[in-house]
Amino acid sequence: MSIIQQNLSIFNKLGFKNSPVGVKFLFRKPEGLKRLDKQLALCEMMKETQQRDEPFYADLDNLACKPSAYVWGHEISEIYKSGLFGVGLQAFKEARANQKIYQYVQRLAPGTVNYMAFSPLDKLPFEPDILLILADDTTQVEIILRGLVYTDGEMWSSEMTSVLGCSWLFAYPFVTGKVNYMTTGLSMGMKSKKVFPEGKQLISIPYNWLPTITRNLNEMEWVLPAYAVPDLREFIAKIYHDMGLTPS
Amino acid sequence: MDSIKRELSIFNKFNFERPPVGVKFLFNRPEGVERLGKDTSFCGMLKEAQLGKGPFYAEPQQQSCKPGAYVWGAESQKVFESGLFGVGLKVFKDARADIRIHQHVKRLDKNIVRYISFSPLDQLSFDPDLLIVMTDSTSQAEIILRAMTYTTGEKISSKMTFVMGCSWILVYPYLTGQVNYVISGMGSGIKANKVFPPGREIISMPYNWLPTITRNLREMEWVLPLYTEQTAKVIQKIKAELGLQGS
Repeated sequence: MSIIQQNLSIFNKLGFKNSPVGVKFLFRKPEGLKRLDKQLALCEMMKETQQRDEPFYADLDNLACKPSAYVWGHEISEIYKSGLFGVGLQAFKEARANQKIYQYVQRLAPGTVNYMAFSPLDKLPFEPDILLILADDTTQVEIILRGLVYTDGEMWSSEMTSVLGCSWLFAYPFVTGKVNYMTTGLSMGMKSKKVFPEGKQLISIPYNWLPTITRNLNEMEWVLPAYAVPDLREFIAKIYHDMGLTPS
Repeated sequence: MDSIKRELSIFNKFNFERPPVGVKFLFNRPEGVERLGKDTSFCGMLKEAQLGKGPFYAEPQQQSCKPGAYVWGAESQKVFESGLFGVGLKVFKDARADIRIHQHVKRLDKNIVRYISFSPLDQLSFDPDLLIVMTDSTSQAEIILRAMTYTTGEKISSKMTFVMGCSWILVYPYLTGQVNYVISGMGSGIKANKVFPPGREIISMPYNWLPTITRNLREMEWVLPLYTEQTAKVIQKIKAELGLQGS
């Protein structure tokens, strides 16, 4: 097991019902991995990984979802981008609203990613480009995202669009290097496919943030004293005192 | 006022467990509205209105929460801004991380906003600057946020810092004109004070978005065909209409 995998094992301590999933974007076919034997949408590939015990890879022919193909960097018929498809779905009143989505949506650079490899955290045979987590509750989310701010004071930012939700899970964090999270049930495609239970947070951590977050998860208190003390006012007053302040 | 109440009454159709709350930022003391009878935090004021108290107004000196007072424009002792308080709370490892938070957080000017009025939706006596909704389920949040995108294609964004969460519910949407939502239970102050049940979406809509969102809520399908019918069938039908059969 590589050093990075040992570091990532801290995520197992959160006791997720479904394993975190590592994803790698590849130009060349990965060696030693089996090809996915069915067609799925990108979001469903994450779920498929959680349900399998071994890593796999997928190529474009494994994709069962046109929006996913666009996010993956493949061309799709212009009529989709015209916005008429979104109107047909009744997601938008007019095509112009759907068209605007394409200003925001990040996609993998066309021609650069021919394969995607997926693996449950415990079986990772590669250093992931992104780590995807389906949290069971807000407490887990709070701990992971606090792992982002503990040493860096980052602002939390969740970005998504009502369609093409996979872009914000797969492409946006990889392309921008920013951690993203989104609430399941807010994005139309995933909601209609019932891929994940509603009201959970999906967190996507790009490789550049993994060292910081894993180090902080190893170091910081997972349950802050402020959440557990019997008297919050007394606890705050003690901090004021330590800072040389009189409570006011 | 009646027309605004009528416009916003569409939100009643959700039957939220806690009512939406209208908020107004004022230079002059509001007339015909009671002063809040106690000191509490910003999020505590929002909760008061959710629990049916209202309409009421509050003044900066009624802030019982130092971060809330800072967000309302009070000068804080520099030791707070130094980041040491966040380290004391064990929220941040070093003061330097806490210091960065101040780059992001939006604040009111207490010399301009001298009063803030709160009211549950059904008792609104003013044209709100913000309407704040705490949803009971993600389905409700999906409908409201879709109403924002239905005619505009707007991106759905959530901005938040781990401390001073009240800034992102009350101040950021007001000053920037952007709809924002946060998940209860993810900010340290609101979580520690147990103000809201965890895991709910708290959506804050500034006045400039309310006409669009309310109009779209009246017009659009709340439950999309994709959610109730077989996905493949719906997609095939649309493809056929668009002349995309088989692609």
